[in-house]
Amino acid sequence: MKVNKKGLIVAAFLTIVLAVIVIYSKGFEQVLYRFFSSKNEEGSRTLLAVYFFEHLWMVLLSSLIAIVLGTSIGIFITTSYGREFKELLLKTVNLGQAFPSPALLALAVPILGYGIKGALIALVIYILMPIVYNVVIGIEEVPKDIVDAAKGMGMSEVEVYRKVKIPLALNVILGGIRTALVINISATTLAATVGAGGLGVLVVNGVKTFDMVLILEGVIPVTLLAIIVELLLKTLQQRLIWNA
Amino acid sequence: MINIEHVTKKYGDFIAVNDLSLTVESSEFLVILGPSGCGKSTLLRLINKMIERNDGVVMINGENIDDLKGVELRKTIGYVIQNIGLFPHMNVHKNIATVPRLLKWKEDTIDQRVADMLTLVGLEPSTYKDKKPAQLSGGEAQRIGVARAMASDPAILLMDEPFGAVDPINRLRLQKEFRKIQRKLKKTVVFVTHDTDEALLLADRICIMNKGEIVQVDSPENIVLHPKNDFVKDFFKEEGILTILSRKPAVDYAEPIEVDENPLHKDATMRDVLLKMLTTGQDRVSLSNGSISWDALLQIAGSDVHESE
Repeated sequence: MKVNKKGLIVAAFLTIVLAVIVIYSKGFEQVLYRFFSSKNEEGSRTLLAVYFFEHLWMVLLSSLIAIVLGTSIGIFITTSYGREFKELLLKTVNLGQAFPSPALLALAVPILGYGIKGALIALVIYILMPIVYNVVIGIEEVPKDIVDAAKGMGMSEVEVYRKVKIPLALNVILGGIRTALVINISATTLAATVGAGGLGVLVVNGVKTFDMVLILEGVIPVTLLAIIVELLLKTLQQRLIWNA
Repeated sequence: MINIEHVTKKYGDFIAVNDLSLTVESSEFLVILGPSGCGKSTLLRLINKMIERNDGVVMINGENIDDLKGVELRKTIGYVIQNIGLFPHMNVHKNIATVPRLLKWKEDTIDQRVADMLTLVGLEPSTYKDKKPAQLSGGEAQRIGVARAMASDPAILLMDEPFGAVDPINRLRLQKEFRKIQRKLKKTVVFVTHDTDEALLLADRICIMNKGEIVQVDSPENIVLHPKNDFVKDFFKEEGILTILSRKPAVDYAEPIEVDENPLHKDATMRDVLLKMLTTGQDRVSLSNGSISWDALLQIAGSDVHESE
C-alpha cells in the first residue's frame, strides 16, 4: 500500500501557513497592505479567526449532511426498491447543481429567513449532485459477474452491498465526496450574502468597497483550505480503497 | 436429487424454458448441452432461484424450493459461473471463506476448511491464501472459484460454463481434476456448457436442449451412437466417438493375450490405443495387463459398425 507522502507533506505545510494567517491575522493584513493599496488602513473589524471558524463550521455541517443524504439517495436508487425513483431523483439532484448558487441562496431567505439555516440548506442542495452521481456510477460499474457470484452464494441484498458493491465502489464514491467538499468550501463564501457569516463576509465587503486587501484576506484562507482538504481526502481515498 | 417438473420460464413473449421436466440423481454429473440461447443457463438459474419460474415445480431432495427463501437455498448450493466472479478486493482466503462466513462458522473451522479446499484443488495453501485474484492465472482463479463453491460442502453444485474462459490445455486438466473431485466427494453436479467435448468427457448423462426444450437425455455413449434426431447428430458430428474413446481406460478392455512389445502406459485410454494402431499399422496393441485388438476396439466404439457389415 503506497501512500501519497508528498501530498501529506504539502498539506502539512499549507496547514501551518493557514494557521499562521488565521492566528496572526493583523500581521497578515499588514503584509497585504504592503502590496495592495486600500482606502482604509484598519483592515477587518472582526477578527479573521471568527470568520474562519464560522466558515469551517458551515462547511463541516453542510458536507456531513450532504454526504449522509447523498450516499443514502445514491445507494437507494441503485437497489431493486429504489430503481423506479432513479430518473426522478437524479433529475432533481441535477437541478440543484444547475440552479445558480447565489439564486439558490436568495430563494432560501424568504423561506428560512436570514442566517445559517438557509445557507446550510442551499449548500447541501448545491453539492448533492457529485456525491449522488458518483455513488450511482461506482455501484453500477461493479462487474455483473461479481454481483451474480455474490448473490449465487446466498448473500442477501444488504450483504451484497456491504461486502461487495460498496467496497468495490468506494474509490468512485470518495472521488465524488472530494469534489463536493472542494466545491463546498468555495461556495460557502456566498453564505455571507444571506447573513450567515464566514470568510465570504470579507470578500463581499471587499468587493463592495473595492478593497483588494479585504478580498484577499477572505480568498487566501478559502483557497488554502480547499487545497488542504483536497490533498487530505486524496490520501484518505488511497488508504481506504482495495486496490491501493 | 433434483426434480424439475413441468417448469416454464418466459421473458415477455419469449419462452426461455418450455414445460421442461428433468430429474438429476444424487451424485450424478449431469451436463446440460445446447447452442447459445437454448435456455440452458436459465434452467440452471431456476434451480437456485436466481430467477423465478412462471410455472412448474422444482424439488431438491423432496423439498419444494418455494418453501425456502432464495438466500437460504443458495447458501446450500454451490454455484460457479464462467467468469468466476472472484471478489477482487478480497484475498483468496476470504473469497473461499465467503459462504462459511455467511453461515457463521467459527474462524478456526473456516481456516482449516480453506486450507483443505485449496489442497483439494491442487494449490498450496500457504502460497495462495493471501494472494489477491489479480495475482492469479486464469487456471488458478478457476480452481479458487471451484474451491469457493465447495467451501461449505454443499451436496449440489451448479456450474455455468465454468471452464469456458480457460485456455485449452488448462481446461482439459481442470476438467479431469474436477471430474476426479466430483467422483471422490460424490457431489451432484449440474453443469452447463456448449462444448461437446467437455460434455462427453465429464458427463454421467447429457441433457441436450434446444429452444427451451429437452431433445435427448442419455449417457454420452448412447447420445453419440444413437442420436435421437438430426439435431443431436449434427451437434456432435463424427468426432464425438473419439471423445467417447478417450473416456475409456484401455486396461478395462484388455484381452488376456500377451504380445511381445512394449505395453502402453497404464493410464492409456482407448483413444491412445486407436492412435497407436493408426500410426503403426498393427491390429493388436500391447497393454500392461494383456492386449487389445482392432475388432474389440470397433466393438467398443459402437456395435453398429459390425451390425451394418
